[in-house]
This record gives sequence, structure tokens and C-alpha cells, in this order.
Amino acid sequence: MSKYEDYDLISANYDKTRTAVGLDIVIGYIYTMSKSNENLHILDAGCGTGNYSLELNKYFPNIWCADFSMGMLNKCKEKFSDENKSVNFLRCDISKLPFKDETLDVIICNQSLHHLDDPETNFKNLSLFLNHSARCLTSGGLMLINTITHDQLENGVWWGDLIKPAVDRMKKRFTTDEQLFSLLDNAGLVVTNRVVDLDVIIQQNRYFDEDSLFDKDFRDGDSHFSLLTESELNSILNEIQEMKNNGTLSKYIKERDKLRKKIGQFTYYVIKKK
Amino acid sequence: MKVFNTKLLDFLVCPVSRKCLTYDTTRNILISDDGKYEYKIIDNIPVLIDDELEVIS
Repeated sequence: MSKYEDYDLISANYDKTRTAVGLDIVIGYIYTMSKSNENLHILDAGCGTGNYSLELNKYFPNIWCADFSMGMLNKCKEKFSDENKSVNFLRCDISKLPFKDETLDVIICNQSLHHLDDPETNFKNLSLFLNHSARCLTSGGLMLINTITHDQLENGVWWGDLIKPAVDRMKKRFTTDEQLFSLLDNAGLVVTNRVVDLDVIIQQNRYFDEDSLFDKDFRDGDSHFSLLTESELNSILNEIQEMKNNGTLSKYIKERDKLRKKIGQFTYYVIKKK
Repeated sequence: MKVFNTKLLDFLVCPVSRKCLTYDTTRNILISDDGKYEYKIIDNIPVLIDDELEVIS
């Protein structure tokens, strides 16, 4: 359950800005599993509108789509139905994963961890999610977490410096590597690899569009913006408009994007049971 | 109404008691095996959320 976004509302526009980024990483690692594709049981924890599951289902038949938001699940179900496909849908709080012990071969969790806790709960729900994940995974099971490092929060998007108040608030919702590794260790899990794809841009083509941030639908695809006050947002948009008017915005975007090219926008953590 | 696929119950447990779940065909709900908790199935999607569960007194 997101602590700060209304995903029942956002589900209507979510797919305008989001796709299954890093999908090849996910498929590649699942293919390293010793079981045949038909025998793998995969949970998409915090599935949203099902962008990852829809693609994964082309190769793996047994998928569970789980989310807290009924709006997201309905959208997800509709997309599967449009393609005459069917998987298992479940509405649950992923910090209380309602699966039996050792029933899941793979758990994927894409850009969802930061919705589990408010800053004051000190990653309590994330810790619960990881504990349950360890319990539900089969021996030799695989967990793939896609999240954003603190460095990527600051410099993975060209507007990171402009929305600094939101980035600072976001940092309280995203673990540092040290925090994540410690929580995983406590849950009996261990990171075996860390993968960053420098070429993938979450926001796709509109990322370089100078007008994109003026579009609410675009901003709704990035939960940073919901952590800005209205006056902060207006002041940021004014600053961008000013750069646009004096012809410096294009250069600003190019300069800032050099940082993204070095660090990427998101990180996959490949995780196994200890 | 589409019939609930009870094979899913090979995987699922009650999020509160961790007991197995049984499908009540008449009421179209899931009940924990200790008989304490009931969960709705909405549009064929099990809703295993303890905030929305029915505690059987």
C-alpha cells in the first residue's frame, strides 16, 4: 500500500509514462533458474498495471499479480483480458505476503519498496516484506528488486537538482545500499549481483521534452512530484519556464543528462536465500 | 459470475493467522481454517487484506 500516492486514481494514466524498464535483466535472470519455465511460480509484488507480468507471461505461464490498489489490479486484469491471457490476481499488502512457505520460485518487485513505509516507520514494512519473501521463496529461489539508489535519485533525471526538496524527502523513503543489505541479511537473504542499465530511460521519449514537466499526467508517472508542495511545484515550473524563455533549458538538460549516463536511473538487486 | 479457481488455495494463506484458506461457494468468500477470518473475493480477485477482513465472533 502506498503511503503517499493514490494509485486507484493514478492507474488511469500510469501507462502513459511507464513501461517495463529493465525487462531483459529480469528475463535473463529468471532463465538462469534450474526449473523449466512451466514449473516456475513467479510473484510480481506491487504489480501495478501489470507491465512486467504481461511481458513475462510470454515466457512464463504461472504468474501472480499482487497489488494493494484495486484500481491498478483492475487495469492489470483488463490488459491481460485484452490479450486473451490469464494469470492469478491478488489484492494484498505485500508486507504481509499471504503465501504458504516455499511456494514461490521468483519474486520480482519493481519500483515499489519506497511506497511501503513512511519515513518515521524506519523501513519496518520493508523489513516485513523481505522476511515474508524469504519465507515464501523456495530453496534456490530468486528475488529481483528494482529500485533507485540515493545517487540515482539526485542525478538520474535532469530535473533532480530542480526538485531538490522532493529528492530530499524521497531519500527518507528509499534505503541506502547499506540499509537494504542489512535488512536483507536480517531476513536471510543476500545480494548476489547489482545491475544497472545505463541506456534505459524510465520516462522514455518524453524525458528530453522541454515541456514534459508542465504535463500533470507526465508528473503523475513519477512519484517524486507528489512530495512537492503546490508552491514548490509552481516555483520549479516557473524556473523551467524562465530557462526555456531565455534559451538555456536545452543546454541545462544536456549537461545534467551527462550524470544520468554515468549512473543510470535505476538498479536491479539480484537476491538469493542465504 | 466466474467460478473461483480453488487451486489458488494451494498457494495462499490467511495473512493474519497464516492458516490455510477454504472457499465458501455459497457466500463466495475465503475463510481461514481456524474459522476466525473471512476474506472477500471481488471480481474473482481474492482480497487478502486484514483491514478489510471480517472477524467472525
